[in-house]
Amino acid sequence: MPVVTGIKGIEIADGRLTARREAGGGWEVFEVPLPAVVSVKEGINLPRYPSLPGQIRAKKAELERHEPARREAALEKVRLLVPQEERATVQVLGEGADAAPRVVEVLRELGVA
Amino acid sequence: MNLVLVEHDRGVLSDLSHEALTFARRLDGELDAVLVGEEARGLVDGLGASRVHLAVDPRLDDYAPAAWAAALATLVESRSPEVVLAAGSDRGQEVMAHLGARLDAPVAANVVAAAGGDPFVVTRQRWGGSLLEEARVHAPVKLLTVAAHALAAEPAPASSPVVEEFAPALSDADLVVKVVRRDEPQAGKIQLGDARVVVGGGRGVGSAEGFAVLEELAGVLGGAVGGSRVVTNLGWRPHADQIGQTGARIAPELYIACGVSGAIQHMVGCKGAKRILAINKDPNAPIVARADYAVIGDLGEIVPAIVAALRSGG
Repeated sequence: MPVVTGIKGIEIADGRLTARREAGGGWEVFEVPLPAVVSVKEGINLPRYPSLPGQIRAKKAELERHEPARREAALEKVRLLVPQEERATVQVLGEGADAAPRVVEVLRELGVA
Repeated sequence: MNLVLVEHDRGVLSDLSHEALTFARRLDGELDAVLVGEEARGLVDGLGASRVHLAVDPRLDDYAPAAWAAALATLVESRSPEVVLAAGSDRGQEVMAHLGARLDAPVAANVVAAAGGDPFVVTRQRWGGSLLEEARVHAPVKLLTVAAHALAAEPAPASSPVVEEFAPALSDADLVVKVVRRDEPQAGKIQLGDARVVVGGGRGVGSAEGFAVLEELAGVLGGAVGGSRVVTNLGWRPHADQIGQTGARIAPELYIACGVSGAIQHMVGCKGAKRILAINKDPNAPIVARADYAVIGDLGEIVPAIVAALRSGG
């Protein structure tokens, strides 16, 4: 089955799916026949959250249970570590609009202004 | 021998591929590079590899993830590499996922260090880099993607590689998902990913109109404007402007974060920034603790004052 990952735009017409994916500030477009598998990225739409009546109805819905066929992990987790923070301590340049001249100095030091 | 997939778009090398090549050069064993498609032929000399495999087929004229994976699978079969690597880009992750499925092998994504050995031990980023995982890869061929911006790319050593063309075993199904067209970025607009200065706005900007002053600051500095997920979800900025785990990854000289709280998902997107200047009314906002410089106060007053000071040359 065709797979398109990380898409941020989707249209379905005439049994075909058109998917748009961000690439280098523009978009790249894929067109695939259905059925297809896609994974979508945040930002494809604004999520609709379930309404209260919808939630009540969902409570009565029948649950189908399936047991996944598991097998031994070929990528085995040994341990988790918290990465070391590399950042230096913050330098507060000032408060409010009065800090502007100091900010400009820093921008010049960094070579961006 | 280790194999690196070198990512390109119609013959233009991707920056992250340099990082993957740098990572691969530090591993034990010889380094072979793989390029897919005739358009990539011009790239063979700049990779620092002793051997370059060029996948040639008239159907490989644009990016097709399953076909790229098929090309790698063909080489895995014929060359039996120990490790196969790709950049930790959208494409790199996608191609390696296809390859893993084909070979029935695990993929260790977003690796920052590979200790090697048997079992093969890697350290990789999880949850967008907020945690690291040490893991063992149990497979005859180790498939890795190299975490983006986790190491600095080094220039490739001069090499005159042996170029070996090969015809990958492609089925029609491998070419169903392929880029059919592009909507090119607006000409002249500075892209977030390439900008030397990024001015980012968060909830503290207050409204879509509030971004006007950020636009002005970015204009004066020749930079680009981005936003946190909150502002793109609220419709204050287009989704393409989102900086973060699921949006753009930026790597500017300076990131000016205005009214951005600094949620971990946002910090993942801007950790490539060399310096961060936080402008925030809350001195205890997480972004302030992670910034190099901070100005505390109302960004609606501070940002225009900075623009004015820059314009007056003061």
